[in-house]
Amino acid sequence: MDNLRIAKTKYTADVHFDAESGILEIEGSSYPENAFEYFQPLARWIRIYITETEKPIIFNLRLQYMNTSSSKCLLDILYTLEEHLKAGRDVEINWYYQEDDEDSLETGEELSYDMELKFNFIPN
Amino acid sequence: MYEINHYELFAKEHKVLVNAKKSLETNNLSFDTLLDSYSSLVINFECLLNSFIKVLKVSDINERKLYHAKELINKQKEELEIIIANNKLLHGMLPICASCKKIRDDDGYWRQVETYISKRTDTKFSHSICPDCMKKIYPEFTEDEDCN
Repeated sequence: MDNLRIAKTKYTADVHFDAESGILEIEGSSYPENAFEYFQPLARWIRIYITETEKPIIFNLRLQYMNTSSSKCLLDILYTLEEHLKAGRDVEINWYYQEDDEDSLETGEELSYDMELKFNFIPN
Repeated sequence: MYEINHYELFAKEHKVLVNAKKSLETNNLSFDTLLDSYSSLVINFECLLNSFIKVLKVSDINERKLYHAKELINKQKEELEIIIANNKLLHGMLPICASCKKIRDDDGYWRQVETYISKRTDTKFSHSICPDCMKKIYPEFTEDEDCN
């Protein structure tokens, strides 16, 4: 399966999904006009990836800011990964945040609440 | 402006409603079909509610983040305006007396250097006497280095 690479823009984050290592990374801020359009290829790639591989997935998130629509799309991706976890696969979420950015940490905590996915909160 | 179809964001949840509507249209109202539709709706409603609450909380955090950022920008803007104003006050050519060093202000009055600067900046002056002036004004209090 091909890797997914989307370079960051003024309004969107940098995306690097590596099929070989199973390391998926999103870094930056996300507030596009149409979040669904931006996140659709990411969600599709992950859905295909989890049907094609049994490798462990490490999802590294370094998000400074995201708008409401982006948070819904990210939540859907996390639910997809949770289904993968429930099917007996290894999935780990690394939520990176600036040490002085309590809001970012809180965002990660809110997203992780009530989920079976393992979230690691890592200060930069 | 691009019009966002918000149903796209809730495509997964919306699909359940579409299917339920189709069942009604095709008059497929058997007990099993209704039970399936009802179960799907309940599960998806719970899922939607959870998503909605999470997204709302994230949205609140972001709103707070933006508010703080705006506050910080306003504060920095005010500080910058003060710096620019102070810079303007001490910028350009100053007419200064070659002998007594008084400065001529905009009204044409000759002011002491400390009066002129204090009025225009936050600078405060603490008066003292430098070694050269000390020798001139108070030679009796100055040790003559040549005699030592």
